[in-house]
Amino acid sequence: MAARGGGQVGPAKKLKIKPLKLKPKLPANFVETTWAKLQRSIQAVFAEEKVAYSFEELYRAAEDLCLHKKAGFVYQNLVNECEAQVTRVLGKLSQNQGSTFLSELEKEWQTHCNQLLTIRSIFLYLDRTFVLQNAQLKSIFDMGLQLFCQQIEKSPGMERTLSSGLVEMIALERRGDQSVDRKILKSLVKMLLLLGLYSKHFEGEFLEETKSFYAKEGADKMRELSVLDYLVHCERRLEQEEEKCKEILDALTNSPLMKIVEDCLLKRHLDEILDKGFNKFVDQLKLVDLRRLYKLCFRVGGSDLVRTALCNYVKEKAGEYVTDDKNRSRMVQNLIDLKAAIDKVVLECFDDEESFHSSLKEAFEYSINLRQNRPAELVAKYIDAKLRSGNKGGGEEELENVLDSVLVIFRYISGKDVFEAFYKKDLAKRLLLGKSSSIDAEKSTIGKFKTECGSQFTNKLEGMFKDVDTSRDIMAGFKNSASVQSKLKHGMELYVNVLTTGYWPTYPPVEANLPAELRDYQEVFNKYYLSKHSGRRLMWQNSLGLCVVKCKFKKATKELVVSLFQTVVLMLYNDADKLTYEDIEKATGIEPKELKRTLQSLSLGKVRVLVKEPKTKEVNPTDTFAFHYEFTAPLYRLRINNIQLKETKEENQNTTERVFQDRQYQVDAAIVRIMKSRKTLSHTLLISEIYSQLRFPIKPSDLKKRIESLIDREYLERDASNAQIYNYLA
Amino acid sequence: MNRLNKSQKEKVRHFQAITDCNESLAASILRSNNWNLERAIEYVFAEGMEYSNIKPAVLEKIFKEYKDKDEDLVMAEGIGRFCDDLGVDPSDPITLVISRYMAAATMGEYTKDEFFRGFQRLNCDSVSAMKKKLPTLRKELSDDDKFKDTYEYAFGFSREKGQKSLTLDTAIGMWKLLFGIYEWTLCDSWCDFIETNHKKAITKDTWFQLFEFAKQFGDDLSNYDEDGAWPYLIDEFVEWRQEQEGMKA
Repeated sequence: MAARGGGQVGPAKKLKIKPLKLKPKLPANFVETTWAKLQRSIQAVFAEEKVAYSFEELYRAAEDLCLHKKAGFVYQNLVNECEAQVTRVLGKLSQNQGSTFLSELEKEWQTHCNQLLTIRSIFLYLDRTFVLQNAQLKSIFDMGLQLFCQQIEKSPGMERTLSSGLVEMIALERRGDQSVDRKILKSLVKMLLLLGLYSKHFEGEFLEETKSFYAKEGADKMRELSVLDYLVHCERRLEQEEEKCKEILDALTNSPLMKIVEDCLLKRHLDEILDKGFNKFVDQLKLVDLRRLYKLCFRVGGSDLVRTALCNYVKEKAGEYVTDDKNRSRMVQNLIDLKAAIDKVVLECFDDEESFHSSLKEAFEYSINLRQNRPAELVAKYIDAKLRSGNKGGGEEELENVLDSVLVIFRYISGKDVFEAFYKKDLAKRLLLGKSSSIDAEKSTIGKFKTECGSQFTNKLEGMFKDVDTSRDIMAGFKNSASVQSKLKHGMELYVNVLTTGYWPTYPPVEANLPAELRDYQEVFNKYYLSKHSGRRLMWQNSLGLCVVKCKFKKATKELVVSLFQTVVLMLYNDADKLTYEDIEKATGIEPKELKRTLQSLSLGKVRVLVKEPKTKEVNPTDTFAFHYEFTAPLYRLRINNIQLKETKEENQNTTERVFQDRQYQVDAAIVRIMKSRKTLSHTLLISEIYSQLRFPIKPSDLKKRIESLIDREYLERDASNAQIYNYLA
Repeated sequence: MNRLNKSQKEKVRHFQAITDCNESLAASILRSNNWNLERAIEYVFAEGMEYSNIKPAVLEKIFKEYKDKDEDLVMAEGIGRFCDDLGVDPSDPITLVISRYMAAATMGEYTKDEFFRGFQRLNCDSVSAMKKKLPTLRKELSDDDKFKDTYEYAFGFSREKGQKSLTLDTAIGMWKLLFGIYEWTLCDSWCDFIETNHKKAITKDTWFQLFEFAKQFGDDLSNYDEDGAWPYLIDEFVEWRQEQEGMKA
């Protein structure tokens, strides 16, 4: 090695390193003394005494030993020391498994951990080199834990006492014991987790206890509490357990734990909860509780049960409304209210579940069609009441809302033809007697039906409106026609509605001897109309006529709005003051039933312009009727034509019968249509084809009757070889 | 014979050639089959008739014996004597079988044609010959297929003239008679049901189907399928039976 500098070259200086003269030697008893030092210190740590050496020194000592290849020796000795310590500590504890056991164990555990940490610091070098290089060895800390664990397992009964002690603590806490020390609980559970003892004994026992606790609690509380409170209680319990689990227990325990709690508190009692609580909640519209109920049921997969309960509720309620004949006037309103309430419940409490809606639809359809015709009829009447003039409350907007909600009920009705028949009849009266509150509302209602059922359904109804409109034009022409006016001299006004047969309900013709003046007018109109529309035929519907007559009483002159029949009767009193029933019958020619109704309305109703003798409540053929000259009333214009608006029993029956008659024809027509195209068809196929064609409900037995009637009328025959097959006979 | 037109005469000749029966019988069979030659022949062979050439004169004599004084018919009184001579009660179902052979259209009267037809088809030239045939005829009542013919024939036979359906009383009487032979144990029950619940005439379809029903189910209705094509009366009967049995249990 040479160093050159400047120009000078000096002789090179050699640096020589000489070996030690004396090979350094370890002190003879180096290992023993060092270990002794360490051992003393370890024992001091375990004994919680002051350590005589500084940690630095001890660390070095441990390191020295390792460097001198004594690591194995040190580790083994360390293990022995630890084992001795753990045996001592736990041995002492195992003698005393009394009430303080848990807290002492916890203390020992904490100490043990701290001590281990200290010791590990001292032997860190060992831990980082020797232990790391030997895969089969456990790190010092783990080794310490393992020893602790082994010792616990070795000590008789200790493990049992430990886990049942813990379970007991938790149970105490569940029962509401505030004194339970959560810290101990938490650290011991953590210990179990660290020692790997958690799932071995504790978890199973804990879950077992949980199960028996909640099984009992479920049964007890179910008995003690109202369903409402029970649900609140369940909800709180679930929250508590969830929170406890998060704070103390292993995350993996969460799902079995919650399942047990749900099982014991909810699933087992689900039927009873729904049975006892559900209907009441819905009845009282307890939305919050219903929401809770649904949430809890949903947790345990019971939402189907809730749905069934809801459907049953609807079926029961709606069925009750539908079959309750006494309160039938309230039926539709009740159904509307029910539907609105249920909708609200589903929306707010049941997450607006789609499956709920479809089940509800079924439930409503089922109950509304429990009775074939009444609901359809009452819905028609309900709408009639809303559209009639004099219907109080609400402007156009409200009417619209009412109609929309009644339409919901309408949708459920399977016999729409019944509805149509009754609706038509009422609409006719509204239109002809001027009782409709607003033509716009009428038309918008029809529009709604049209979107609902198609134009076929509303065809005839719209035709009725058209007739009314055309009649207005005809009457305008009639009034302006000079030739007509010259013929009319009685100073009356005549307004005629020309109705197309087929659009309107059919009315049985009722005869009456009309006053000559009226007859003349009818004649003139007949001529006028037929001159414009040749080839048509006019039929006068006396029962639908409406008249306004002036009547002179003693005090004042009044205007009376009366039916045509009432007019005919009243006109008789132009020439007489008193008439017997027979006189009236003879003079008017009105049939007895109608005449009685008419006389009743004039002499026994609110406005009595005739005085009946004797004063009984029924009209008898022996009665006499006198003009009530003394009659007084606060109003100038008086309506007495209500009998026209009122529906008689016969009318109602007729309408229903007509619908059935129509249905029969439709069934016959459908059968013939099908058989004509198929020629031969089996019974079952024929039945299913008929059902696909018909738009109203019909019982299979009724279908059979129609088929048999057609066989009897020789449209069909049974196949000679198989009675289940029909042949079409051309 | 004069009333027949040319083509009809032709057909009668054809018919005779094939079936070997006399002219008037041939004509009447053809007429009842609407002058459809093929159908008439089929009808003859299906019935398995033996056409004898018993002289109309012989039959004429027998017919005269029972014939009504004023009408060209055998009426109630004549039928009574006829039965007496055969040695059977007029309400004996065997008379139905005889009437069926005659193809008599209405109860209580035999036309000449019918009377002749019966004797010819049974190949009898006297009442006593027919009497000898009675045991054979009686066997037909216990044969299911033949009984069915008699049963179905009974509907038209018992029907009042110009009526489509059978009045209830007649129907019930007939049922009791026929099912008495057929030994359908539910017959009384059925008649009870009809009397209390139906109270209307019985249609042909119901009549015909009831036999099928009795044949198929006997007195065990447990397999009955009311979605089948059975007439509704039978549906209702089965339901009624089940209700009654439910009430008893």
